[in-house]
Amino acid sequence: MRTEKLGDTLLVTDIPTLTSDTSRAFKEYVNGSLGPEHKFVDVDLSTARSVDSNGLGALISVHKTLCLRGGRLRLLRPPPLVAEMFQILQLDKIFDIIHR
Amino acid sequence: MPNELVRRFAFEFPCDLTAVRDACRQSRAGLAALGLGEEELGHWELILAEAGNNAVSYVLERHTRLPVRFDFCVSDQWVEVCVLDHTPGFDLPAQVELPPPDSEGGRGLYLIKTLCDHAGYFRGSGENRLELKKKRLTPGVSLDGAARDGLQSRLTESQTTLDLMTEELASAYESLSTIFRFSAELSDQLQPEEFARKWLGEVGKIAAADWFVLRLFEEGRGLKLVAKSGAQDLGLRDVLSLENAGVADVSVELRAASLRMDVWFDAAHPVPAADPLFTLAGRGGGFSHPIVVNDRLLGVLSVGRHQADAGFQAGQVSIIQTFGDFLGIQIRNTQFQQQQLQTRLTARELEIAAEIQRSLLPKQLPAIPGFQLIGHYLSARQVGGDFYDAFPTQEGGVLLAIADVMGKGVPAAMFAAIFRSQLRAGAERAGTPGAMLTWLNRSLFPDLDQVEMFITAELVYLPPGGRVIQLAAAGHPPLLVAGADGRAQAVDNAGLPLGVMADTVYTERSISLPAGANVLLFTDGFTEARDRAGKLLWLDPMEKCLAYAAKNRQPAEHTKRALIALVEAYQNGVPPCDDQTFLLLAENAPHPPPST
Repeated sequence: MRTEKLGDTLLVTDIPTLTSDTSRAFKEYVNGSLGPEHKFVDVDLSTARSVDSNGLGALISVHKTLCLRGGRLRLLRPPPLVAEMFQILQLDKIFDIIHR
Repeated sequence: MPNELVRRFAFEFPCDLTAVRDACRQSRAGLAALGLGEEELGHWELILAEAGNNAVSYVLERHTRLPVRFDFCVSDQWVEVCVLDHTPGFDLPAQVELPPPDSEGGRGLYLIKTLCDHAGYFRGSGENRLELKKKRLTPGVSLDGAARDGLQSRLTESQTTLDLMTEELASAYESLSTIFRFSAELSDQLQPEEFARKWLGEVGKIAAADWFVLRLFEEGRGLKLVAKSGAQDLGLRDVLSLENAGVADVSVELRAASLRMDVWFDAAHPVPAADPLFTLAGRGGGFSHPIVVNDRLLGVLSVGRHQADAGFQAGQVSIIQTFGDFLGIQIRNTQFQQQQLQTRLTARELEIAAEIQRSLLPKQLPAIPGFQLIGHYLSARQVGGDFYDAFPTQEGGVLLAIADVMGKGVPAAMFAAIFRSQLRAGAERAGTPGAMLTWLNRSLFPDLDQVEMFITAELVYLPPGGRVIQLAAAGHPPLLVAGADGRAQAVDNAGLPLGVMADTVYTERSISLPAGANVLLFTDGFTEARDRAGKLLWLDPMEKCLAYAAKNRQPAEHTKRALIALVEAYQNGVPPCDDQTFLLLAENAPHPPPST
């Protein structure tokens, strides 16, 4: 997992999985990487082989942190199955999901 | 699934979230080998991840060393997966609601329910099953050589699984057959305690337990010791009160009863020294299992081993729990049946007693010139020993008798029958009423004394054509005599009741009957009738009623109705506690002179 700081945005890439066994580490890693200037976090999910409901919980947690700063979480290029899961759970209405 | 190839395989993995990931990946590979497409593989990986996470996240602390298991059954049309967990279990609702959008958890079940065509959850004894079923999007494909080899290896795994299941099934069969034999013996004449001891011994052998203690719940008392292994006194308390919270803290049995959950003990969680089970369980391991049926506590079964580190296997626990529940229900049913039988026997006994009682009453009372004679007998709910009689004597007079045998039911009715036959026999030989009571007492004393019963009685002899009656009584209420002058008197001549002292001598007292006499012999069921406040009627109202009847020269039938109405009105719906019996002798009104 890597992060890149792009102005007011923190980009998170190279995420292998976002599941029950990795979600806590993800949350701590992102929160630890957030600087005071960051209002947005872009999470690139293109490499995520699997995401489960615990992983979603971690994303929601980060999103809530950003909302307090007046920002939000954006999800980039989720694999089809992950995108379907967001749809099933109606989370596509909360997150900005960018498929390009 | 006729003529359909069904493939079965299983993955068992440690109760750990990382292991869930590995198991999901392996499951995905296994399903891929059977021709499932990418989309459904993704779905299943997600479903299994959610199910596996729940099985690990909510496992009972004492079961963390037990594995979680995915059992697969894949046909050309369906994929079925059974997830075995060791959590406390939960109720899977028909509809799962989505949590609020900002909630960080609670979406796993929603995903499972949405992605599967069927999801069912079944709680078991120590092990629960989540059954998931989903129609295949990609129908089954014929297998190439490599896939066939892969399948062969999985078939071998499945065979191992099958062997384990067979072993479990054999254990279940043994349990079931024990229960059948148990049920068959239940109908024999064994006492419930003996029965429980015998069959818990059997279960102990099957489950390799070293000891057991069974307590059943008794209302108002607590958990009563019913059966235990071994004959020696282990210092177990006979009754454990559920109301004593202090004991609940140290007693695993009471904790199991109050929590309605199995309470385990072992080296890590030992039984406290103050626990009544300490002698048995102090150095070993085992558990106390509450026997609960329809949310009602029936008892607690505790089972254990002397070695603290030799825990029970899941199958053995299941047998003990199942059998404990079954035993508790059967014992309770047996006790209930015994109570029912006793109730029926008592009811039958009362019917017999009532029948005897009715047969004792004279079908017809003797005609006495110038008088009317009428009797009344009302049985209380529990049949007592009242009776009355009247018959002519050799001298041409009439003997009136009334008696009350102490007690209820068949014994009282039997003594009333004996008294009646002795009375009729004695009337021929004894002579006066006093002599007759003396003779009756001597005759009945041995039998009455043996069963510690007694009889109160009153005899009145009315000589032929005379107006002087003779009265003798044995511990009986007084005779009421009223005349046309409107005055009534209670004439007492009480001696000891019959059956109290063998050599009691009874004497009679002579009374001149007033004009228009009404003479009432009665039992204490009348004077001791109670109103709604429990107050006794006593004698005065009856005296007044009789005086009024005599003064107005009422026919005997009329007076009888008045006396009955008096008592009924006083009781005001309160059922009588005792039989109510009387015998009324009423002098006829003089004929009016013929009109000229």
